[in-house]
Amino acid sequence: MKDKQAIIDQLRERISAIEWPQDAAATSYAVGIGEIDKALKHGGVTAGSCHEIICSQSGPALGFLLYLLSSMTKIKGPVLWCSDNQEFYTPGFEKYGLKDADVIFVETNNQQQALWAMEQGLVCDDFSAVVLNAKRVSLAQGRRLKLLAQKHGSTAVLMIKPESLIDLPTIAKTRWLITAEASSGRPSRNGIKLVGQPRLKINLLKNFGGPPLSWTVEFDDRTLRFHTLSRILPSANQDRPESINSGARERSA
Amino acid sequence: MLVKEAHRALYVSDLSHHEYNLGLRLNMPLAHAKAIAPDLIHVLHDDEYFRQEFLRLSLSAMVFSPHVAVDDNYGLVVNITGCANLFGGEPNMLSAIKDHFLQLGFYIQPAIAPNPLLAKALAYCQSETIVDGPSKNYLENLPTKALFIDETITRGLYDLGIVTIGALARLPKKMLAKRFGINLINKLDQLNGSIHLPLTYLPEKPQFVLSEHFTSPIRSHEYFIQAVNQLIEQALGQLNRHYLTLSSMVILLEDSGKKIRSLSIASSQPNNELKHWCELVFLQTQDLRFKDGIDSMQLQLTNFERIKPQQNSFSKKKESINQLSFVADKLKSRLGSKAVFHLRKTEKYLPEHGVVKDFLLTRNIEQQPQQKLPHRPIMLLKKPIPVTVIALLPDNPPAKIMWHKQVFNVLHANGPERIESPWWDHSHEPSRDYYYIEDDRGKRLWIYSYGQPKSWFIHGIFA
Repeated sequence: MKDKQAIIDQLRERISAIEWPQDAAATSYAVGIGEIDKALKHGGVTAGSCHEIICSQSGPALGFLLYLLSSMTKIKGPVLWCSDNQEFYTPGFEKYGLKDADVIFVETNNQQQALWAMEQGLVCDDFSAVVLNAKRVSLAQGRRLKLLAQKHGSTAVLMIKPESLIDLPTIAKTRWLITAEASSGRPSRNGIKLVGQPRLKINLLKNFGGPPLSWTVEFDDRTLRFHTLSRILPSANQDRPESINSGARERSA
Repeated sequence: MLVKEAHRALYVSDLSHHEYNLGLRLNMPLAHAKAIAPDLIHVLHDDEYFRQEFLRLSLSAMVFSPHVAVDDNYGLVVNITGCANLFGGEPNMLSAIKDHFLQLGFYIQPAIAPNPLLAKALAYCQSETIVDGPSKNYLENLPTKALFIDETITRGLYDLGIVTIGALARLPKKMLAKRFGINLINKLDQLNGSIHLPLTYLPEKPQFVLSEHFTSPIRSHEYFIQAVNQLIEQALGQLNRHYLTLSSMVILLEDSGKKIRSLSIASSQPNNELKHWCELVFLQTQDLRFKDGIDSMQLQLTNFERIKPQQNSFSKKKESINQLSFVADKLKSRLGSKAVFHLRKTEKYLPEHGVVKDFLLTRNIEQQPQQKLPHRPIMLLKKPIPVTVIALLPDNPPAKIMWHKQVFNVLHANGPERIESPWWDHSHEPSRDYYYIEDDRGKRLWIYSYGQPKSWFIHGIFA
């Protein structure tokens, strides 16, 4: 009986190695928010794969991305950022821990160029991440990026614009939707409260090897870190156990 | 025989020994010269051509010393400090230089002296002299002409009965300066070596130009790339032999219509990687159309530098910087050199001048002393969006913002922060009052009011 189990485990390991060759020894970048990192499979955003941030509100989504990138650049090299929109303002980046020299921007004229630039970046394993701002990335395009990222151990982050695509299938390992929440405000003398610490609602819509979750987080100006205020389980997924797939993987690990 | 145009007639400007023996002289009218020797061929003196040829000749002297300078009237100065012993002493070097130019077909009059002006004077008057000992002895009998100064001064000196530099040097300097100007004294001092003669040395690097002519015009990109690759391979081979690394090159393409197209290809880090250079050319030319076909192609290596001796490091770090710059090069060659950059903070207060693009991608720049600015957005709109605003009191922060059909109920507001254009800027733009506001749904914006009556704009977005 014991032998049988061992054989099954062995076979599972082999299958998973074929399915996700880099998964066995996946390096990951911690997001830097304790509870979120705990919910992610490898304790953070895995390298060698694609991640997607839905950009329905550009401010909050960008804020979260900056925070994520800052923890990546601290471990590895700079970030390559391909975008046709060049309205980023680096003096504001510093608050989220990202330095000027950490980001190399690539200005492109169309999405085709941006995708090409991204592929060039993914091939070079010196970048901690390659970011793409795009209207939408088709499955075929996404798969191409994923395969490249997987092969070279680089990380792709897609900033996807419209919210309507949230339910479409994706090649990304994680898919995030970041929305803003009003801060608690700070008292002031003239009656109108001052703006408090920025608050974000982080919805982890797709979580490879784990359940989708969402949190409300608040930025702390003193520690320059986000910390969670509350965790909300989406009602639709509340009664769903952890996915079968991930359960199997955990046993084999 | 060379002729020059002057006073609406042609005059002899240069001649050979043979022509001199025939009785021709410098500055003789051409008609006169032709009367003496009717079969002689004359060529119009082309200054530009001569300058180019002379420069080419001078560059060949770099085999003797890396420091070669060109004089204004076709003199060549080679700084041989520390080089003579490589040729077995100064006399040997002198004859080696002479032989070198003789092989090229030129008879030269060289001289070696402790300072360039003395060497020039000696080359002019007593060729093949090597100054060995105090320069005073050599100066004694040199004619004043060897000073290479204004004709009027030499003539003035002649009138005074001074024909040698030795005699000139014995005269009191103060008087000479008064009469003939300070220039004469300077020249004398330079001749003595007491004043340094400034020399502009030719750029040390020799030019590398490779060209290729095709028997039939190239029309397909594939063949073109093949041809370019071969050319680059040759060029890099040459550079490697000279211990040089390449940082930029220009490719000139001439099509059948004699139209010339130039491509400039640059790498942010000098390197001799064939694959990398070919890739850059490929990326830059892939959208090119070869309608007329390419007849010939020229590759000019425009910028290169000496390979620096490098210590092998244990870590892979050095290599990785290289890789990164390679990617940047590739992106630049397809998307244009202005497409890849860092956004750097500046010290300026006006938000739209707050960042500049740094195309050089310098990584470890010194961090300027940062002034702590109040809240700054992470996105700054290129064109501020005009909005309608309701405020409770004229000087209060806005309470409601209307944009198109959207209404933002302002919950919290920081400000105002007044930002003015600097006083030395005469644009006289009214100052702006910035507010950092947050609405009830958590939208955080940077808005400003300006002018009287106030008009409001959204300028930035916060996380």
